Amino acid sequence: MTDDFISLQSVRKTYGSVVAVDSVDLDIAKGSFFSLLGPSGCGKTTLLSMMGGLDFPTSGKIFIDGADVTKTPSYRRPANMVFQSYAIFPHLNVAENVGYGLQRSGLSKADLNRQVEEMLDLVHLGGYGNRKTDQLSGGQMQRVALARALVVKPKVLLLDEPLSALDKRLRQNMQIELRAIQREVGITFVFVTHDQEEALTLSDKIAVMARGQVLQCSSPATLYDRPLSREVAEFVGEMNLIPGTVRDVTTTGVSVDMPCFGTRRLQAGTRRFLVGDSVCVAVRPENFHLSEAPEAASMRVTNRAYFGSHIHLILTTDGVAPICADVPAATARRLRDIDGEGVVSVDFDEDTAVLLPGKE
Amino acid sequence: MIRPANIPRLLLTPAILTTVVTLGVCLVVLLVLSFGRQNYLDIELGLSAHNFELALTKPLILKLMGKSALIATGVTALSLILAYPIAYLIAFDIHKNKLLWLILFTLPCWISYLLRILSWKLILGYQGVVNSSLMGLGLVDQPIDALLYNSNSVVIALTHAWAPFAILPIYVSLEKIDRALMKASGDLGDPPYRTFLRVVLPLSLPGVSAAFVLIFIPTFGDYVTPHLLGGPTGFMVGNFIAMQFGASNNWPLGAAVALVSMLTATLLVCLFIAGSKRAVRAIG
Repeated sequence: MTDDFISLQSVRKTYGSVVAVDSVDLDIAKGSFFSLLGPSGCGKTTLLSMMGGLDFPTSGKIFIDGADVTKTPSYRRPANMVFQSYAIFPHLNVAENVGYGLQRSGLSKADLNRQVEEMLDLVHLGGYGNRKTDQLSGGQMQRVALARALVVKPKVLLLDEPLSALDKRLRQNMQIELRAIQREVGITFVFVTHDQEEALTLSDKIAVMARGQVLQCSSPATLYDRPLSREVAEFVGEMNLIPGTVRDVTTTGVSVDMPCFGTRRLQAGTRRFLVGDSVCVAVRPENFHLSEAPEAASMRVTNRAYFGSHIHLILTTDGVAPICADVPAATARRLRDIDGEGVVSVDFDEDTAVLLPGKE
Repeated sequence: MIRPANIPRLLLTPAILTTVVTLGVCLVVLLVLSFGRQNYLDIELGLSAHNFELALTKPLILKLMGKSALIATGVTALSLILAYPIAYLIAFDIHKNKLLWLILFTLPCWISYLLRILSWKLILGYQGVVNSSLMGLGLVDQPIDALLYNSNSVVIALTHAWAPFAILPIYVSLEKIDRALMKASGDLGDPPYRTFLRVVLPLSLPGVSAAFVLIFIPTFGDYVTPHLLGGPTGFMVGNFIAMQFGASNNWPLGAAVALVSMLTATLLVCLFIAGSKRAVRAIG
């Protein structure tokens, strides 16, 4: 508990009869890069606004660094926001924008200018101080917004989809830079995004949200490898969900009858299953491989796309929904029969498969 | 043949023609007149600077010019002070039927201006609504005669007439402000009143300046209101100019004073706009 820097306790927010955020409990560690991931309308931005004091919970409590800030307005909170639209003041130049929050800190003019310069250097905008903001590109506006929020030395930096307006190349560069800046300043970052790839790349920890609730909160690797629900499994990365029935349950694992793949022994994780339960076996496309083993499934290739390092296959067989498999290009090349619409034998790694309930 | 590229210019022609004829030609006539000299019933055209000399040195004209500037400044300031909160309210706090509210606030303008001035006579007069109410309540022993036929009544009537026109430009500039900017200001540590001074006010300045021009220029040269409500002390430069073209029959002098007062008003507007920009920057 000592490590919990930001703590949300049963935070709930309703607008009339609409529930935007529904009883969210979250603990965010100091100095970490934390992401709120979810589709639009899942309540992630509302949750972020409540951390920043731009919105207030209907019920529940919010603590930052041990202090109850539930009802503290934004101008008295040690949290600063980088807005999705950047919200750069159009009547001020770059340096005035960055120095905006320092005006009342009682700094001498020289100190203020020095801090602004340092911050502009940090975001690689050194020498841009006198520029008008309408001469800036999207990426530069982004940096100004970041510098403006960081210069006041907040305990928490809140970022509301800051990269969504940038093109792909720039976004990837900014992701790397954002992470580097976060390490350098050591401030806790809370980052809102609907882009799961972005969340996986940047974060120490990710909370996946849907319908105002947190579905799972864990490290990127755990989230990807061990999703706790079908919804998380399908939202983060690509996932095949193959239906099955529990045949046998032992202390070491669960045996599942699957169409095409026969009976397989899988890890149950923390969930409990009973014999006869209908379940879902979740397998990532990259965890399939071409196999000559007897238990491998024979499937028709209905579509294929070459990606250089791997080949993306859409496989079908009777009684099962189409399966996506990414097989390494090197192994696939040896198999002549997938040149056209042939039949291939594929198998999956049992250790990487995740057993999920059939219905939720 | 009409080419598509020329259509915008073609559409502008009526407006440009009207402006050139009604404004340009009249200005030239004024200019020509102003260098002339009135000789009983005839006007002798020439190149005499005599009228401008008078306009810039005659104490009466200077005094009237100063008074007009003072009244126009007062009316404009009052109008802006009254209009700004209304525009702010409609822009930020009213979410439904904004247009309806805007129309409601401009309702006074739907009534004939002369009718409104006459109504002010009834309200401010010696036995008018205000005085009889005050007397009836026992707040004063005898009617206050400082209400009508002086500069006060001119300022009141002009403010009432012009304040609605200030609402619209201010409202438009407030409405355009990105709400995220105000949130950002709050987020960066500014309580609401500081956010107003540092973000909302500077960004609404174009609207305030437009309102200033819209009100200051016409009130500076107004002569109907002072003529009907001003009495002996509410006389403005506009009345003086009107007199030169009427009873005093000195058109060249009237033209010169009209030109000088136009330049003065323009100068004052420029001073205000430059000054307000500086003042707002100083606050930020």
